[in-house]
Amino acid sequence: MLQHIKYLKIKTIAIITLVSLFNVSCDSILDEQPISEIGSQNFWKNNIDAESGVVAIYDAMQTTYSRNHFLWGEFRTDNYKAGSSGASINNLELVRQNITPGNASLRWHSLYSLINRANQAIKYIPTIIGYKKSLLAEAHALRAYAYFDAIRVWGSVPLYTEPTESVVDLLRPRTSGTTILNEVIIPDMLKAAELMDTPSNNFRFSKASILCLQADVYMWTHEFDKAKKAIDDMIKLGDHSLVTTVQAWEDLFYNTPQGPATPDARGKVQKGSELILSINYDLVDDQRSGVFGLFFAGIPSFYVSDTLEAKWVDKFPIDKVGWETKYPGVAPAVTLSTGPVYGDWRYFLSRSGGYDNTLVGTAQVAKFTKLNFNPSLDDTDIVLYRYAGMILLLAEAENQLGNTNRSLQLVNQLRTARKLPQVTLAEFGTSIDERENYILDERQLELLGEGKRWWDLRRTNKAIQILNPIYQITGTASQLTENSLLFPVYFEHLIENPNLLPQNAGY
Amino acid sequence: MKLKTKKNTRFSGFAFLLMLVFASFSISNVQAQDKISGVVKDALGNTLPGVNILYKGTSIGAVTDFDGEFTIQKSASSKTLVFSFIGYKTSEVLVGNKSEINVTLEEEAQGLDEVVIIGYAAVKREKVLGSLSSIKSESIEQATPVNAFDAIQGKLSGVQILSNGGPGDGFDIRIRGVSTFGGAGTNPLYVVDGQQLEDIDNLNPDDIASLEVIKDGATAAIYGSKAANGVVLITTRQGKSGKIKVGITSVTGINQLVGDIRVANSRQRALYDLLKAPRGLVGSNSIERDTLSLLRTNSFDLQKLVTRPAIRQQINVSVNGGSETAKFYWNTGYTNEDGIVLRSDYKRITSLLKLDFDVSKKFKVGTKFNLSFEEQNGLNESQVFQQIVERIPYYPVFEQDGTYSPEFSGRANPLAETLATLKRRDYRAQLFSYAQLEILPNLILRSTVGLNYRLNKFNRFNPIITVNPNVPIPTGGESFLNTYDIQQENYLNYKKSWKNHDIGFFGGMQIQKYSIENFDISARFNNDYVQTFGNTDPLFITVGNRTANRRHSLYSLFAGFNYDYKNKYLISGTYRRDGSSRFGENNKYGNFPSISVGWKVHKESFLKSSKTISNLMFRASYGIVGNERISDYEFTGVFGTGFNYNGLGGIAPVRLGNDELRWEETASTNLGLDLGMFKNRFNLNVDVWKKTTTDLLAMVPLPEESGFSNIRKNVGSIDNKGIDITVSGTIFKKKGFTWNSSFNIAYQENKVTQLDGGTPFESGFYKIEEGQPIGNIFGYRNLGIYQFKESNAYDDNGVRLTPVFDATGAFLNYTLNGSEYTGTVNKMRVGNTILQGGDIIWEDLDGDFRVTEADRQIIGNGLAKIFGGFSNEFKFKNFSVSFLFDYSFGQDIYRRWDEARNDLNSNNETPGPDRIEGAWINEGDITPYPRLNRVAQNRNAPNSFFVSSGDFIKLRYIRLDYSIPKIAIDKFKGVEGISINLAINNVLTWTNYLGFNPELGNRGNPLNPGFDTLRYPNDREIILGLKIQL
Repeated sequence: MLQHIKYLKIKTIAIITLVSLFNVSCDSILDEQPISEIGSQNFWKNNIDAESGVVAIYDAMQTTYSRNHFLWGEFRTDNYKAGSSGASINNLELVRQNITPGNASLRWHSLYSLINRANQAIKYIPTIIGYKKSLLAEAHALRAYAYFDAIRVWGSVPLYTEPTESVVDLLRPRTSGTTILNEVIIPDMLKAAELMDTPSNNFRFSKASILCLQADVYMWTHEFDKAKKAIDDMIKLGDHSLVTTVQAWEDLFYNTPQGPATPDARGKVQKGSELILSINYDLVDDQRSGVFGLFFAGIPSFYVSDTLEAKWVDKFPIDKVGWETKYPGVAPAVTLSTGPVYGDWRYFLSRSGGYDNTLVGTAQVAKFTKLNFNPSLDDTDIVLYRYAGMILLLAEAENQLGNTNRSLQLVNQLRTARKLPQVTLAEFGTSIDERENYILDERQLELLGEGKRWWDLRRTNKAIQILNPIYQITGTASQLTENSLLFPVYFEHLIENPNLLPQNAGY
Repeated sequence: MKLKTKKNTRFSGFAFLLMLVFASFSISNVQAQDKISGVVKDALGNTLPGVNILYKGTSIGAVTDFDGEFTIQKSASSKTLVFSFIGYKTSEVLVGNKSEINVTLEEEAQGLDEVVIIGYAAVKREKVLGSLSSIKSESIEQATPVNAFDAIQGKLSGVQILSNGGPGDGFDIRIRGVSTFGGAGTNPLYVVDGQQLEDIDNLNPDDIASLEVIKDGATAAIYGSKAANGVVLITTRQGKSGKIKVGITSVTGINQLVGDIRVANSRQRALYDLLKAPRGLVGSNSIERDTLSLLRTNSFDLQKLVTRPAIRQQINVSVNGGSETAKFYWNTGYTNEDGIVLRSDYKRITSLLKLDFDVSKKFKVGTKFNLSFEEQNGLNESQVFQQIVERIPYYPVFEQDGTYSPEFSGRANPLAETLATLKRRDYRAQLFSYAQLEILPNLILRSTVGLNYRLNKFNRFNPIITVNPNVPIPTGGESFLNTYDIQQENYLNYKKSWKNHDIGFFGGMQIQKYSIENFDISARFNNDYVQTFGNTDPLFITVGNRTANRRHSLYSLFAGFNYDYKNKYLISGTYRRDGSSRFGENNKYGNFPSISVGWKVHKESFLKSSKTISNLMFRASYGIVGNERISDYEFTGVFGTGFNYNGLGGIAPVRLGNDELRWEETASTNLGLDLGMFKNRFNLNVDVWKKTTTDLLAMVPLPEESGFSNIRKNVGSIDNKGIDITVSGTIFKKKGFTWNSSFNIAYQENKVTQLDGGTPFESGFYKIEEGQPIGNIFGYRNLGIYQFKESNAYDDNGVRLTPVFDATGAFLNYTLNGSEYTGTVNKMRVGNTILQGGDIIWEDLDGDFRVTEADRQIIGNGLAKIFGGFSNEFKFKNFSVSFLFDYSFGQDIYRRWDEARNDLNSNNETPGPDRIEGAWINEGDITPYPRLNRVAQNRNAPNSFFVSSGDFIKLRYIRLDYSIPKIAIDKFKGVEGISINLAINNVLTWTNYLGFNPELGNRGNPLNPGFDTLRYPNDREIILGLKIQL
């Protein structure tokens, strides 16, 4: 019995102590802070944070431009015809020019993640004592690049220049493309150039690629003198040059994994002096570029169009007689054991089949990969700016500025590097417009599969003029109208934010 | 002496088992002297088996056998025998010199003396003022369950149990409608012997003594924070004083697939191949050219190939007993369920030990351990079930050497997929201890501590056979979920009765702390041989983004009282204040009051003498409960890691914080009526209820241009209301024969009354908007098929014109209402495409002759309106037969799987056979289905064509129990009873639904009810069970 009483006492005391203990500390019990995440107030403290923050912008860029770089800039053109009817409807809609607002490629979520992360960096990097200027420059360049695509794709888009940190004021209407261009994109890219001290970097914005961006934007706004200056400045940096061999050209793009069907494949190369800026993809990271799936799918969505094939073969005949008639005395650049390869060797390297292909039937673009591979192995870098493209862009600017000779000289500079026949002044064209068309064709062949053609047609206002007659004949796509040049806004965006209405005209 | 008895019994038990095995029946009948024997009967003269007989003040006792007979040694220490039996009044008999005692036990008003522990106070069942549905172990047993929920399906009014899939996949339990948007927040709170748990998947149903579902808010309010969706109270079995008893149950079941889905054969596929290209019937693909091709004849019955007759086995061995002051219960169970789909087996081992000690009259302690191990093998549902209904029927499944064919044309072989390893293993340990001290007379202090530990391992592996043969790299992953939570409570209970007054108070505090650690890793493997991480390619190991640790805690204070006058007028109230770490600084605490009143009319003088009405009580209650089941730390915005680029680690904002997050609250009102007639032989319970949930916690989509896609907010209100009715009674009771029957029905209505800014939002194919119920399927209405190209013609008001053709079939003109139409002819378009003959006639709501998102409308609702069950039990002597029907009406199911195979989106999918045979081919065809050309305009989704009624009635089980008569088992020393049962589960289903199963769980998403992506198929089970008492 005594023992019992003792027990009770101990227990009572214990319990009472326990109760009072817990009562005292109840507020601290409820104070739980994130363990595996970083509280907002603890970030953007030093240059290491700034570097991580900027890296995250590129991470969003990987997501945004995987596939979209091509879906937006490549497939709505005369380069392609629709592939298998079994292919993804989202893809086929593009090539058939009947895009619907439900097309998943139109979601802008990751594009705006990119912008939001850039806005974060732009707001907070300057608060770091002794911050690295080039990081801020990159953030500005990335934001300019993203908005430039946004206004080209949708025309006008909602504008965010501050990071989103609360739910206040999120139902913004769209801001006109011109306003965004003049108030955000151009100031951003100028500021980026001013702050940037790295002359060149393949995978991140540097002086060279910021100048390329400027040239792109000024070509869009038809400020040819400014575009010319930007490209000239870029050339003066001296970090990039044209490659001059067939092998080196192929290596700029080549990414074919080794497998049972490709024992001699060389894996990922994608190196060369022409590459000014690419988005890097690697297998260690979880993002894939989508190049395999778009250009060399098991069930192809896109085939190289007959129009393009005809244009290419017409320009550079692939038979002995045709070649020798057109280019007497010019030896083809490639000679195999079976003899010389007539025609443009880029044609054979860009199109599935290779040199010994009989060239009948439909072909996919084989510039990057030579066979159908699992998309999970796709670490192909997406080339944004290439020296050859900039040379031809400069040629365009010089043409517009009336400097025909320099323009032709630039075209021939590329022809020389590609070991192809020189262009004569007569062939080049007699008017600015004819010469522009000639340069656009040169760009079309050189830059096939690089997401440039649609923007070339758009900025020169030639999309309707060039594409409609082709579609008229082939009947494979709807006729374009001024309204259908823009892409529609994804329908869910309009539901989530009704202030974005109306939908782009024509959809 | 006691010890010796124990030993003997145990040994004879084992001996008996041995004898069973060797089927030897050589045992002698031992007769003893100095015994008392007799028979126990009820008022009607039926013998009562299982009546407890004890010498008063000792632990010496006996139990009546199946014929109501007993024998007991004469005792020196006590002269009074106490006869007790659930449902009957206890009777005491003086032994004297008698050697034979026959007792008649008087029936007690049914179960009203029982006590149920709600929250922190014990309440007599007759004084429960809220709405409680209960089920007893005997009724649980009838369903021969694997999981506790198998047992209660259809038995509790207003409680819907929805199956989530195959063995080990668990259930959704929906108590009184959907009152939350959140994920995990739809589950009720489980309280097992006082321990609050998130789920009870690892609870052996054999351990359950009783299960109660608290449906009304006032009764649940004492559980505060987690009770918004109801509370499930479970009391596990407890040791009884007396001699040690051993129980063995064994169940063996054989399961088989019922109700397969019709799929296209090779001929139909060939027809589809022919018709799908835009060129129509003229074509020349390989199948057409070679009429003897195997491709025309090779059809695999994939459903047959991936399913199998499966076996379930369950064995439980329990031991319980003890003295007056120390009791124990120990049960170990083993369950193995094969699953009717290849590689979907589930295994569970549980061991529950419960100890209760009365240290002194005033001080009691006890503890409970529940250890369990679960292992579930699974397969990739989306890869298997969708594939077996849409795979091209002539695609190879086996190679010539009998091995599985590899992945082909982007489609994995569904049979090979069943090789792929998905393995879940759960190791759990639950501990719950209490100490209870009577500080003053009537004042009790109780302190409890509960610990719940769980290690969940999930492995996945895709062998080479299932991946693209061009890249023969097996991949796999492993994740760990390591969680524990601690619950500590201290509270006081005071009870006092004087004269006509009965009063009770309680008050105390509770702390709960949760810790969750997640680790997730995936990798490429070098080969199939070894599937653990030593065999991975070190360059390709990825840490998943679930890898993170979290913590969560709750602090609560609570108090309550109850009072009644003459047990006629009753009132009770509770108050709880909960703090949760999940909310922002200023909103951490929520207050949850409740008040209940009751009036026992039958105790009033005017009914007291009534012969018919034995119980009549009116109840009313009002209470508020809360919900805090959202993710941790959502009140604050954070940056996350893992946003890598070019070999560098990046950090980016991952969440927009909402520091205004506060408690979601559900206020509920319950009006109840209990009627008992003819000594409660007939019972009626009616509850009318209404629940209003405000400040709903939901993920609200943000405009994506903000850089975020959603944020957690308190966004609106939902109203749920309904009626639950249960009618039960003993329909027939004559000597030896009884028929008990119980019918329940629930009607429910649900309405979203307020949303953030009034803006509707969509969740998948479902739309949530003000004034509408949850579960609305929102899509395009399909009005049929255009017969001719010219049939797509409308006047300016959107009225369809009738095309007229001449004798040669050439189009002449249009008529409207019989007369020629000469006005503008409008053509319906989808995008830029003008609809043709054979295209779907979409309803154009806005009359702009373009089918766009604006033309979507409500095409169905996934929530049931009426559901319930009807159970019956017939007993005749040693036999009993029970069966249960349950039913559910008013819900629609969206056949997503059917849409997926019929939208012709991918060349690799094969439409259903009726879709192919019923397709539009030529101008003028009148068909139920559109043309087979793969055109976008016939692909709008969701599409009313794939909405079907999910109504069903199910004969869930029939079970026959037979207890072997005492005479037959008397020979086996120590054996007290043997019973055998034969049951069929899932006997018959009446439904028009075309999928595997019309019962669809939410899988944690309450906003998408009735969305069928093809789950685990239905099976029928034939069960043989054996129960032995030693």
